[in-house]
Amino acid sequence: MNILRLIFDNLRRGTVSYPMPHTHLCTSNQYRGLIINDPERCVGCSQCAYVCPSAAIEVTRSGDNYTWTYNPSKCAFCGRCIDRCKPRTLTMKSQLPPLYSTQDELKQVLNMVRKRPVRPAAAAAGTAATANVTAPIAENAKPAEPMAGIPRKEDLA
Amino acid sequence: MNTSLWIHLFLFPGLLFAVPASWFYVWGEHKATARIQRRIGPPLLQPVYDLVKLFGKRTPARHGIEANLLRLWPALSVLSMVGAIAMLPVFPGGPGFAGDAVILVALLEIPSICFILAGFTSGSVFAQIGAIREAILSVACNVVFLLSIVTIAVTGRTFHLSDLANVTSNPGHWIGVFGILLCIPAKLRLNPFSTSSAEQEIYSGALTEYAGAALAMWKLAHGLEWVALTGFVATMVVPAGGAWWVHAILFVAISFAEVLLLSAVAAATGRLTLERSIRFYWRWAAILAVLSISASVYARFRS
Amino acid sequence: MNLLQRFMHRCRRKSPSLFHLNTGSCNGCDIEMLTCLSPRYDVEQLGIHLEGSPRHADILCITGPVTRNALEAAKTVYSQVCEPKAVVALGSCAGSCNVFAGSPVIVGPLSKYFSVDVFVPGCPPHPDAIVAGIQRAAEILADRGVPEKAKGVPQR
Repeated sequence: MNILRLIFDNLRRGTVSYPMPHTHLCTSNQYRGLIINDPERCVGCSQCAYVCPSAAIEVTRSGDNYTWTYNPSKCAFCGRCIDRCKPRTLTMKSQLPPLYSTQDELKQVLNMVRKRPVRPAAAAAGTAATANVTAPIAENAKPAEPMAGIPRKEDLA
Repeated sequence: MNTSLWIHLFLFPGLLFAVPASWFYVWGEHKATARIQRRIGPPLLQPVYDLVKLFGKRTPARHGIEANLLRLWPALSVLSMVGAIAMLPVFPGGPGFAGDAVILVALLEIPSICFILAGFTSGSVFAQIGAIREAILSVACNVVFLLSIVTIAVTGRTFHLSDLANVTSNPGHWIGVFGILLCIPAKLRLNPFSTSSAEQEIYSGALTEYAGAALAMWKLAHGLEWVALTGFVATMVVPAGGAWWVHAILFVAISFAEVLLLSAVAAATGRLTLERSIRFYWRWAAILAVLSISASVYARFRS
Repeated sequence: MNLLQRFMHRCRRKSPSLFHLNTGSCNGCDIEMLTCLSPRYDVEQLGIHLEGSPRHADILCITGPVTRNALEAAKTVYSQVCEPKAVVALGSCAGSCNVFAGSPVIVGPLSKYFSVDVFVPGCPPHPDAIVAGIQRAAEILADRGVPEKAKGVPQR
């Protein structure tokens, strides 16, 4: 008789289906969608291409110009590139990736110029380190000399 | 041929009523199953869309006698079902003849035979498996079906459908009606006796090789089987007396109620294996055989 | 399009029957496709239903990067689906072999052998995306069934 009660309850409680077609697709804000790269912040370290399991991200460089290519048709939406990205450039859209009809329709190509790291206090730090050894080490100071007596690798070779 | 026969054959409950009714009953089955499973279910015109779409498919070319045979089986099923529906004693005093219950049973049997033959004609392994299952199941199911008909006829003392439709005070009549209701899931290939057209299990069973218009005819034949079988039980159940339109409305209402009942049973049960299905039917065959023999003996010695 | 063609267009759009083919997928996409039939998404309200035989279906939903052994079977099934038909590549394996590209048993993404109409990206794709992909394929299928000169819009 359980089945009779189940049928009666199901009929009484009504449907649980989303009425189709629904206008807003329900994805949470943690849904793993397309990768977005911010060209202003990207430094071209290509760690994302290194860890991508399906080679969806490719970075090619020539001199200071590099090209960041992302092919969503190969993407497994695993998020490893986001985890690895140190400058926190890469983010993921939280909407569903769009449908497409031709093979490489969704490919994104970004051409960027590698930005040199900015060290505003470099000149001042260089003079301060040699003049006053008790001064606190400046933020972008050069690394200290190795201790005397320990040969450097260049001397041995 | 009198006008009453033409009305029965083409108007009500013939072709013009039967085809839209078949769409309505098939929709009712899908919708009831969906609602029981807390889903929304298809829109009302879905069976129409399915049927019309199939007519637009370009089917593969087949040659020789096999092509014509493959087209013959669904056509034969549809024609026999329309004939069976036209013979149903919906109105009191309709056109009929003594012994027409036998013809009705024969007509109701033809789609099952055509299904089996279509499976064997198709030449595909899956089709043969479906046909074998349907053959074995229909043997077991038909024993119960025929015993129920015999019970109804013997206790009503006639094989004339119009007279059988008016009998209501006989317990033997109701035993027979119950027996027919038991057979309907197997004839319509519904759960729990859907082993011969097991969806996805044997691809599409006997209809695997069908496509396009022939498949559309099969779907139409299936819908008409719904109308014929539920209508048959409805005519046996509708009480005698009253105006002709009361009979018509009760006929449709009771048929649709049976559709909902059978859908609920189908949604609530799983598919039984072939062995279990035939064991079920042979048990009921034994019970009904005993009941019908005792009823006929009783009727013989009472008169 | 005259009335009959418009009616046929509507029927084809409203009743897409699927045949699902797995050419070596990990079953993630197949499970998500099955979820579409479940009470939560219930694609039967759009008329979409799974068919048991390729001859009964209009839309072929293919998952998986095509493995060497599955290629012949996929070609046979594709030839058994009756015109007009549409092919949907579900998941990123069907679109581009995903992580399996370059493997010796994978003979390449689907688009190498079939003309795919809709690619549904995702690993696995969200059921909403699958439904949207099937609906777009049904539209493409219905347009394909209309004879060229009956269409009012100029062809691209």
